[in-house]
Parts: sequence; structure tokens; C-alpha cells
Amino acid sequence: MTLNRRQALKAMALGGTALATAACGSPLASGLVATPLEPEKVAFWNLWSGGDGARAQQIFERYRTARGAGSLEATTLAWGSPYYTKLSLSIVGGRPPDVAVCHLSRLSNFARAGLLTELTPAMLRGAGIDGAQFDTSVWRSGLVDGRAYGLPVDIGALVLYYNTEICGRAGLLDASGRLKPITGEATFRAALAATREAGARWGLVSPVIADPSSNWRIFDTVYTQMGGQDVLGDNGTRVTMDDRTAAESLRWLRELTTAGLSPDTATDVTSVSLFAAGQSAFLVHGAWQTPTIVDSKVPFSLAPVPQLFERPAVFADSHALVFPRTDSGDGPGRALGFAKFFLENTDVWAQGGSLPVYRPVLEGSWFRDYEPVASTAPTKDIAIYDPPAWYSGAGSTMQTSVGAQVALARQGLASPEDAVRAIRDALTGYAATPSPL
Amino acid sequence: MTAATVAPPRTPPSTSDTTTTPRTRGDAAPWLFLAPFGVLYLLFVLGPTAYGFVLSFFDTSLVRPGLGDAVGFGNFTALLASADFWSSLGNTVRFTLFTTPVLVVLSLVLAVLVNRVGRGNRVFRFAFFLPYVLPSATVALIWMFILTPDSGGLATVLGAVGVDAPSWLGDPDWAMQAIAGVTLWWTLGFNFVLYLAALQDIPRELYEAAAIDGAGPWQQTARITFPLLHRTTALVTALQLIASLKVFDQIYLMTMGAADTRPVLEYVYDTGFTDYRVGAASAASMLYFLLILLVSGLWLLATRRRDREVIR
Repeated sequence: MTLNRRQALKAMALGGTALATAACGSPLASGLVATPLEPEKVAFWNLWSGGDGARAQQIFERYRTARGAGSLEATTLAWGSPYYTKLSLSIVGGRPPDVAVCHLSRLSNFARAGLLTELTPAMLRGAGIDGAQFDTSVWRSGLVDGRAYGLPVDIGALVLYYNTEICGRAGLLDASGRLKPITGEATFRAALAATREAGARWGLVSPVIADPSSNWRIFDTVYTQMGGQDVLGDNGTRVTMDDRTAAESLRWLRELTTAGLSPDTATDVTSVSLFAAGQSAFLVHGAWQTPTIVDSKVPFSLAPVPQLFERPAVFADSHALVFPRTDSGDGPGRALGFAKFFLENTDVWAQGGSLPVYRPVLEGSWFRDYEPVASTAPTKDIAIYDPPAWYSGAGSTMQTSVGAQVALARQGLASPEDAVRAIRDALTGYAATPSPL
Repeated sequence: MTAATVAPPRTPPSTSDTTTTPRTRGDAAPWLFLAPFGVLYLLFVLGPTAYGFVLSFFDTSLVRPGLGDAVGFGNFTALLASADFWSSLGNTVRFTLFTTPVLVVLSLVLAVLVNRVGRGNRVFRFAFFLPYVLPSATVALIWMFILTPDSGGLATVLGAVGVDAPSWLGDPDWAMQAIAGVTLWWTLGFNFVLYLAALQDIPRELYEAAAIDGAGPWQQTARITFPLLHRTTALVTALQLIASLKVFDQIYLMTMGAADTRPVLEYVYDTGFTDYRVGAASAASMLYFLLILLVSGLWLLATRRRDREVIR
């Protein structure tokens, strides 16, 4: 009996060794000894789980067709702070992807935390990339202390989607079938009311529930249009929010619901589906929802978010391709080649709704003629990004804590003043916390 | 009988063994068998806990090398002054209060009822336990569909009878209750099975004897079933209390902590991983660890005392 057990154990030990030897080159073994899995392959992480993801897939396919089926391993992770948490941890843990997507609003924090490889002029030259190939203002906002850490891909702003059929019936379109310019909040509300008279269930939908980032974007747009200054100053160490304007903007948003023009129950997904089902004349959402709405076959087009108050402004952010720091000190090499390929193919990306910023594509005749996305191009000049702070940026703590209060105010569950007070309290706490970067 | 089932097993008086060789081998053997577990426990539980304890006195950042600067009790004082920490603690307590009593009582009631069912017993057992095998992500997805305002399943059903459904996961007055309800549906099966097993351990003769003495079904349940389930209730309550205090997944998946639902563990996660403030997060988890230790300790004391009373 004892002998049998010993034999069994010995056999198991032998088997284990054999397995380990055989496993050289497997993900497990290469993970254990930290050799690159497949040096030919570019590992790419992104957070494009929405409608834009489908367009990204098309670019990946093109790349695989050009460079071989095994040339790219693209991983899509859940948007927002889960993504950035995973990306940071993978870099800190020494197992990052070769190239990853990072919002410009997050890029400087990543760079200051030392998580990214600096793109030196020599590196860029070697890959045939030059800052002048990008839209100037976006390229500049991607620089950290004058150094490049990422290649901007697009501008994704809040846009106004409109149902051409309903708006036509409501008399809101011009002779060529495009939305007549809307300026001023009274005009806007009249337009929403007109669409309801023309048979729409809702004038406007936008995400309210379980989507703090969308609430932040909408609030930031209205608040800035009303003349509010950045909610944070001095790199996030001071709360500079103008409380009265903030409360005013929340009150205005709430009134859209109390006037029966807009529901306060839509989520990220249901706001899009209500619009796609023809139940609402307008939708305010990120430009990146375009593919989902195209697929729904609802007759629609895009317009910039109208100027409702004294100052033109609209929330925007940009995706950039970044190259995580590696302990080996190797440059991004092949990954930079993939980035170049991606940029050259942002015409496909633009069909996802966002504006490309790579000039050869942006200024190409194809894009200029590409309606409806090209019609949102003016957005580029009035875009506002998150104020800089270690806790701001896409899906950040700032967006979440402000957005949560905005959602309460928009549902009438908190008064505008109480919501603003809660926002100020939350932000003050973060502003007082020393930056961990 | 009662005393026999609840009395701690008596250790046999230690007899001096005269045979020396087997004895030393006998001493080493248990430790050898414990060694694999011991090493893992040291490596993955005790070690990290000690490390976390040390970290809680530093302003350690996830993205800076080393421990950072020592801040003494700075992390703790900042934490005690932080409205976010207290509100997350409040949310966890609220969740625990919403879930623990219901999950203990309802699973007991269902187990007693199912135990009385002759035919179809298996169907009920299966039906009540089934949700428990689902992963949290699946549960969250299913219920987010059901709880979607306006177009979701529950809103549609309530709309049909003329009730205006609130935004379950968006309204702070409802969000925690909604999540507690989902958790009830999801995890009830576990307590239910524990109770069912305990019920089947109660000898049939007791009921027979009681019936002969003229006890009705209600008296039998109140005088035999409930007292004999006392130990299981103590266990189920302790397990449930700890499970509820550890809530994270379903809340993270369903509301991301919005609408006043962020539990203390998500506060720790957000602080440590999302905000990179590992030192502050360690301090928060140390405080919370002490709190759970206190609660479990008190519970243990309370049930011990009751045990002794029962034996007497």
C-alpha cells in the first residue's frame, strides 16, 4: 500500500516536470519566466465596448490581413475606471500590453505617474510620424511638459442626434433636409415642444441613470455654456466651481423633465434605444453611439450641441494610443508601426462618429464629404476637456462623484443647491488629498 | 438529547504513551500534513495582512516605488474625518441590515416548508438552490434587465397594473433595497440547504413521541424543530453576517456604487487601485478588519453563552 502511494507520488512529480518542460512557450510558462509570448505579435488594449468597437474591429482585420493573422492581439475591456485600473496595474505589475488606448484627459496623469514610454522625436521619425500630421490643438493638449506620450486618434464630443422624420414634420429642417441652426435655450425648448406636437413621445433623451460620466459631460457643457469657470483649478488642488451657475445649470436640466420634454429614467443604453426606436426627436450623447444608431435604420443625422447660453462650449475628450513603460527599456518598435497603421485607417474609425485628428484623413476629400459626422466638425473649436487633476479624466473619481449628484438633481431627488453642496464637499475632500502621482 | 447534540466533544484524557518511536513520528505527521496549507496561509493571508498593516502607516502610492513617507496615524485620522468612508460604511451596514435577518428567517421558513413536502421535494430544493450557482456577473446582468426603468421587466409588469415604478437602481431611496432584493434571490439557496440538512438530522422519533403526547404541527415546530436548529441558526447567522459585510460584486456591477450604494470594500478598492492611494486604502481595510473582528467576536460570545444555558 505504502509502496503504491510512493509510486503514485513519484509518477505525479515526474508528470509535473514533464508538463512544465512541455509547456515552454505556452502562456503559462512564458508568464512564469517573463519571456515575450510571441515577439511578432502586438498586444493592444482598448475600452471600445460601445458602438465604436465594431469600427475598431474592422481596422484590426485590415491590420491582420496586411501583417498576418497572428500579428495582433486586441483586448477590449470595460470602459472607464475599471479599464484604467487594469491598465495601471498591468504596467505596475510589469505585464502591460504593447500599446493601449488612453483618453487625453487621463494621459498626463499616466505620464506623470511614469507609466508611459516617452515618444522621442527620434522614435517618431523612425516610424514616419510627425506632430504636424495631427490637428494642432489636439496634439498640443496631448503633450506633457512639452513631451509626447501618446498619438491622438480622434475627438469624441457630445453631439446632438436628430430624427430627420420627426424634425421634418415639426418644421425644424431647412430645404436641404438639415437641422436649422438652434441658438438660445428658449428656441431649443420650443423646438423640443414642437417635436412633441409632431407626435414624438419625447423631445429629447439623454442618459440619467447609472451613468455618472454622461451626467458629468452634460452638466459640464451646460455649466460652461452658462459662463461657469472650470470646476477645479491649480491642477486640482482648489475647487473653483461657481456654485450659483452650477445650481442654475442643474435647475435648467431638471426643468426639461418637469416640462415633460425629456425623461429622467433613461440609462446609457435605453437613451440610445429610445432614440433608435423613433420615440424621441433628439438624443444628446457621445458621437461614438453613431454606429448603433446607423444599425437601427432610424432616419437621423448629427449636429453639434447647440449654443444655448452665453458661451459656446461642448464637452469632449480624445482617444490616444499610448505605449506602456517596459522594464526592458525597449522602445515601442512594432507597436508604433501598428499605431501608424491605425491612424492611417481612421477613416473607418470616423464612421464610428468621432472626428479623426490625423490630418491626412481629416483633410482628405473622403471625410469632408462624409455626412453626418463631418457636420459636427465645428465642435472641434469649442471643445472643453476635463480640468487637470490627479482625480479627473474619463471615468474618473471626479466624473463619478460629480455625475452622481447631477443624476440626483436631474431626477428631482436632490435640490440643485443640495447637489451642488454635495459636489463641492466631495471635490474639496479630493482637492485636499495629496496627489499619489 | 439536547445536551448530547450541543455539548463540545470531550477530549480523552491524555495517556502517557510508552512506545517512543511511533510517538515522535506521530507528533511530526500532523504538522507535515498541515504544512502545505500553512505555507499558503502564511504567503497569501498572514503575510499580506501584516504588509497591509505596515502600509497603513505610510502614504504609499501604487505608482511610486517603495513605501513612501511614514505618516503615523495620518491615514487613520483622515479616514475618520472622511465623509466618503463613513457613508460607505453606512451603506455596508444598511445592506447587512436589509439582507441578514431576511436571509436567515426566510431560508428557515422555506426549509421547514419544503421539508414537509412529500412529493416534489426535489423540485423545490433544486428551484431554491439554483440561483446560488450563478456567478455574480450573470445575476447582475439578469437583474439589470429586469430593473431597467421604463422598459424593463418589472416596470412593464407594474405599469400594466397602473403602478409607476421608480428607477430602482438610480434612486437612492430604492437602490440599496433593490440590490438587497437581488441578493436575497441569489444567495437564499445556501442558507436554505444548510437548514434543510439540519432538519433532516432531527430524529423522527421526537416528532412521533410529541405527536403521541398530543402536540400539534405548530407545537412540534416551535418546541422541537426550532430549538434543535439553534446551532445551525447561529452558524447561518454568523456566515450570513460576514458575507453581507463583505458585499462588493453585485453592487460594483449594478450601480458602480452610485445612488448611495458604495460599500466599504468598494471604497477600499477605489482608493487603493483606482486612485493609487494604497496606504490610505490599507488603513481603511485595517479599520474595517477590526470592525468585522469585533462583530464576529461579539456574536461568538453571545452564542457561546446561549450554548451554555442550553446545556444547563
